[in-house]
Amino acid sequence: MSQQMARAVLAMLLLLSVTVPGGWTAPVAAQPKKGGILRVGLYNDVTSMDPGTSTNVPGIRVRNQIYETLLAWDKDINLQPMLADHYDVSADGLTYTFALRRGVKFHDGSAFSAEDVKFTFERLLKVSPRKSNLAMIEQIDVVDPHTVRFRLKQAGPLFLQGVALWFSQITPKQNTEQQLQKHGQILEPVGTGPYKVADWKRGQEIRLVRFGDYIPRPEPASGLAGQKIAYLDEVLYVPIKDNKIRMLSLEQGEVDYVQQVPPEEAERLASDPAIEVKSVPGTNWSALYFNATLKPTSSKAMRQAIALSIDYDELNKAAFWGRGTVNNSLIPEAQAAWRTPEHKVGFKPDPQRVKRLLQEAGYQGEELIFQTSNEPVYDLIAQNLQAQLKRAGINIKLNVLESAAHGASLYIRSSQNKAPTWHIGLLVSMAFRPDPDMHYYTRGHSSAHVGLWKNPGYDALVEKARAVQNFSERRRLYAQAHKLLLEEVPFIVLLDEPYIDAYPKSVKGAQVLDPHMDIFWGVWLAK
Amino acid sequence: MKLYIARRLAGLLFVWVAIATVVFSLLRFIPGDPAIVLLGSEATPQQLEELRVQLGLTRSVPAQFVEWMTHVLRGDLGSSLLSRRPVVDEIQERLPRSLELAALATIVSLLIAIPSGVIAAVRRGTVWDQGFLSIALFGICIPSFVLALLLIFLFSVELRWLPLRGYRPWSDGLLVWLRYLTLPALAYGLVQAAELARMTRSAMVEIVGLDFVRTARSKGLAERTVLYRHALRNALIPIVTLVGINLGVLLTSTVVIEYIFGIPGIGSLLVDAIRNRDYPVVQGVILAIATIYTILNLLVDLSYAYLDPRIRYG
Repeated sequence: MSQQMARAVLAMLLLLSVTVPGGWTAPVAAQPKKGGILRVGLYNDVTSMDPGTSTNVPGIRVRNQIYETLLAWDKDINLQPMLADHYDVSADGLTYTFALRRGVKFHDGSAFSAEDVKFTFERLLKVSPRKSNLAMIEQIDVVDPHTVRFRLKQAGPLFLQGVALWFSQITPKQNTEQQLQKHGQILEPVGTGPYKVADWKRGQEIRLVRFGDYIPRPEPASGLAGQKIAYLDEVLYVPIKDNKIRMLSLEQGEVDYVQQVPPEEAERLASDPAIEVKSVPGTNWSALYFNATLKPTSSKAMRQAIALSIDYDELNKAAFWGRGTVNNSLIPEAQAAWRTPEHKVGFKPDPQRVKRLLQEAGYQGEELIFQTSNEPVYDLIAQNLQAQLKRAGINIKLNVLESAAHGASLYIRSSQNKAPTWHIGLLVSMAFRPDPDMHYYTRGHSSAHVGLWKNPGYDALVEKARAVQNFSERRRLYAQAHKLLLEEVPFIVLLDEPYIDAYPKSVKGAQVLDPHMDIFWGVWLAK
Repeated sequence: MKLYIARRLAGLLFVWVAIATVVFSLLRFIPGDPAIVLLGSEATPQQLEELRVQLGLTRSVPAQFVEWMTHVLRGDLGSSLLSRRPVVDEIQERLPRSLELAALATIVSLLIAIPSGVIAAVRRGTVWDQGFLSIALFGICIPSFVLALLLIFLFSVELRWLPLRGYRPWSDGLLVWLRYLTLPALAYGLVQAAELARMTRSAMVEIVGLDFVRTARSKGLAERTVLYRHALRNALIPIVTLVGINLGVLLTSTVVIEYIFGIPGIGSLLVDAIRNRDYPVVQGVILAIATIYTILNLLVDLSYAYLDPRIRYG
């Protein structure tokens, strides 16, 4: 066949592949390719990148690319191996032996070993603001350079969670000791992750470059776990605090990726054919806490009445432009593994029952104090709820405070050991809670409920659930706890918040996950 | 003169102590807890308590104040609760950027305000005068952040001449630095210029009617020389006062502009610190600003002596 003929045939084939509907030629999936810079518009400054002491969320987002943990969460929030290949648990559940991955290097060229693990956790136990999550650790022993053993004070499911959380990122012993001596903290992050820090201009930009010596794990990529392939040459983080300017920067092509897109902006961005807006149900929820020490919210009937007078779909439209998920349980829909059929049961608006309940509670139309913040989402939720409850005959007075003052008022119990002065407190939660214990115990146990609600039956359930190791048994206990919460209503979980990212369509392979699990490996540019 | 300066500098110490005390107590009066801000909504009472001990927040407020003051007097402003870096480092890093912006904005405002103020004064009652006055009135009324957004839409979005946001230091090249600071400086300078132009006009209106100006004219001096060398020089005192005070105001009110344009300056440092109840940073930044403000005032007063020999010899 002459060259000309071949060309003609090829042209015909190409033409056919375009014109034949449904196409008999399989669409060729674009192959990921290496190269390019991704400029990411961060919604706030990174104040610190020291895993030992920093709790700053933008910092956590950046650190995920740099550091690794022994175990990591996959996209369905299950634990997978990362720096540890596997682990053994003793029969009494008190000793965990981790076999570490071999051939792993830190960004400074030193080899990752058991000494680094021991050093990291011993430092965390001293300085971390989250050290109570690791308080069960009694002793850490280096068995050999590739084996490390943790001895615990008490057995339970929470140890492995703590080992995988964002503060448990492994730092190299020698390098960290030097930095601590010089600055008292880590100012130049050195981890084992697929990207390393090339330059950090505080308040201006953080430039990450591919770590050439990174060897990806063999398992398929999922969430923070599995294979991490750094396709991008560089990831450049730029803090852009103003929402409007951040979106504009994307539209103007000054950045290639924006996170935390406000729902109202998402609608507008989505109308641009060159921009992909990806919105997923998140693991953050918003909730109303009730004060159990003040009338009338001390009455169960009153709390039930409020729960049943809210149209949650309407609230979703008002707060998140319908992009949130209606969910009255503490386990977000995104956390599928822990959700039981019971968790799908929520509050259904019921005006007739509300009337009866209000009578039962002896409610005379007095004003309830609704403690909220002036942050955008808070505002939208509070105003919508005020209107909705008014229709049901419940009067709300909004007490709007600036964010830190709102926090102090909401958590007055834990900060000053005082009973709150509000009836209803709004919380839009922004935290990563991979284990239901962090929802059920931390929110509802009598030692922790911010409105001082007490229920011995509930306490017994959640105490048992944090001591039992068996997954299905724990799942069953949390389903029971959910039923009890629906009846007692010490708080109302309103909605799961959506996570919305936006980027040009030329950015491929992006995954939208919890802000604490944000990742840029696997992302590549088709340009 | 030397005695005067010494007295003013000693006064600075009083201002310092007073401001330090007020800021320290005010911060403790407003509700908020750095530990809650740091740990967020997942904090347990135990974690909060541990962190408070670690941050030194559990001691009595007077004890904290005494400790802080003794450190301040030794030149140590403490460390940020958030970044855990020394407050002095944070200020040193960010203050120059705000100073650059304030200086540039002042230059913009002077370049616009002085000529237009002089022209308006000389052509009092004409279309020129009224035109400048209306523009100035508009400038005084428009908030700088609205102007900033308008400038962004015009120069960055529509014309694409200047970058949308961001900051580049000198070391990246003077032109690059200027490109990034032009819009913020304009947004600030234009608003400042409006006020300054009105001030220039009224000062000049008064002066050009005086005898010495008539004398200068009758000597046959060029109009330009009469206006700029003789009249303007005498009108400068209120103008310099306003520029001096404005510079101080600019430095503290760059917050909005820094926020919109993403300039990591002292204003955004202060606002973030207040939001996060980062006490040492708030206290340190306010002390720094108060110092600059007081020194600026001193310089303004000293410049009178230079500008007006009657003050120098009188």
